Amino acid sequence: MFNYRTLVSTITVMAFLAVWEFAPRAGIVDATFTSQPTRVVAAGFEIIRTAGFLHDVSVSLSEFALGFTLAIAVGVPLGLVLGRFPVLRYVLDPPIMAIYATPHLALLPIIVVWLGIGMQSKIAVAFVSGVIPILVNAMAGVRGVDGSWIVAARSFSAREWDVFVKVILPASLPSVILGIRLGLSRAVLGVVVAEMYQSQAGVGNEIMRYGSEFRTDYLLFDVLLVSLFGLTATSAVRALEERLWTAGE
Amino acid sequence: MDARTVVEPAPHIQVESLTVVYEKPKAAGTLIAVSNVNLDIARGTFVTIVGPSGCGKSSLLLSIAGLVKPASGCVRVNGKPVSAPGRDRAVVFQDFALMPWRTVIDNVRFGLELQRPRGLTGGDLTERACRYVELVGLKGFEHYHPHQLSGGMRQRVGIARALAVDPEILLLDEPFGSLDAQTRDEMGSELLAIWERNKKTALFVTHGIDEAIFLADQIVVMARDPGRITKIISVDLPRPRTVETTDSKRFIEYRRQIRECL
Ligand SMILES: Nc1ncnc2c1ncn2[C@@H]1O[C@H](COP(=O)(O)OP(=O)(O)OP(=O)(O)O)[C@@H](O)[C@H]1O
Ligand SMILES: [Mg+2]
Repeated sequence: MFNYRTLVSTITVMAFLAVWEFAPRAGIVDATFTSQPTRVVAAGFEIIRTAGFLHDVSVSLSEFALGFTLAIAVGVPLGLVLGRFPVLRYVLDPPIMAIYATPHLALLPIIVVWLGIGMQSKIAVAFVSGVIPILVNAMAGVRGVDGSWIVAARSFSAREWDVFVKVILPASLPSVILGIRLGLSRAVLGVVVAEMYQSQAGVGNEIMRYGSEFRTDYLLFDVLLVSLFGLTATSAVRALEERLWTAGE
Repeated sequence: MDARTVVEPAPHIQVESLTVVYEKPKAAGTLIAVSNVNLDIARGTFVTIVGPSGCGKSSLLLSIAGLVKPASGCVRVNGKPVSAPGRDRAVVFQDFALMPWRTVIDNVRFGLELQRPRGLTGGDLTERACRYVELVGLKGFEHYHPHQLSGGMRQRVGIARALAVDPEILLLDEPFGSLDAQTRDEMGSELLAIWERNKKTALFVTHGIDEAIFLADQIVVMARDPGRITKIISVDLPRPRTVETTDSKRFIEYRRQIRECL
């Protein structure tokens, strides 16, 4: 079953790469616009050797890491507390839902006005993009906790803190991790788009520059790099999530 | 002084004109689940509660556990009024209430972790949990998760979790409710064996009349609207009890008596 799946996926990817490579050679499309796998790989080698590349990557990574860590640090505890205490939820639910419904990338111009075109504005975008799914899922996780577990804990004289640590936290962990996974891809997108909008460095900045210079191969290599990063990070979180689900079924 | 009052020990549990009232969900008004119930339970006895669904059996049990606040009246344990759950009482829940993310041994350890008996290290707790897992016959299943166990095995975990904190009083709310007849009988006999060895005071809610007689020193029969006690029957059958007990003339007579009040 697994091997069958792998086989089908591999064949699909190979077929796609083959069409991409040979369509320009056969003159069906123009390689200036579509590029080719071999060209993208060649561009990759070039880019890696350019002076600014490592700097751009490290800027983007730092922006993402800082913003997303902040999103986790705020979103998880706040979501858990909001899920646990209905009164707080009634107070904060409307603003949270409003932010949830807002296309927050549309706020980019304001964020740039507030925080400038440096790293701060990207960190802010990564934070805002990541924090909402994390918060909402942590909250849902707590609300899904079976009341009978809490009563059982109480029957052993558990205090509110014990209930939180021994029941609420482990019971909502799968939901929390799910939120982190959803928030992660949004934060990556946020950083790249913010860099494309207004910035001095970063992978998004490179993408924008290569785009304006018509260097499709270079641009695609950077895009590939970003999606590879997102994919790897997401899969890592998903693996963690699956282990938790099977343990907690 | 009358000699009788001297030898008679104070009841372990005293329920004094207990009334439990709930708010009706989505409707104005309240519902009287338990109305003016009086009940004394002597130390070391096994008391069963039978009655139709909704007659307030769980409410009575949970008030004694300290998990439900009475509207009026009170519950005393060892003479002291109960206001919250305590180390002297442990509950076995009908729906098991096991933590799915914990293994068998860790579920049994749960109550111990919360109560942390003085002077015990984490290792001591695990060791003690291990003993109780063995006691309920789950040796070899320590590292299973609840979803990998049968219903009967899950309920054993629930019982071990309650026993592990070594309470004076064991409160069991239809613990065998979801088991098949045969497993039920087996678990009943095992529970009696454990109880006889440890001499705890046990309060056991059930729907099964035979089960109620088989286990009990005393049977409390309840009726509904409002929830109240209609009869208390003392069961005079020799222990240890066996399958033959259920065929005895007396057993059949008790069964008739209970049917009459239900
Ligand atoms: N948390 C609650 N909120 C509102 N009403 C409740 C609550 N718990 C119980 N009741 C009501 O109180 C009454 C008695 O319930 P209780 O659970 O004590 O009955 P029971 O004898 O244990 O029934 P069963 O045999 O079906 O378990 C029922 O009418 C029930 O609807
Ligand atoms: Mg009940």
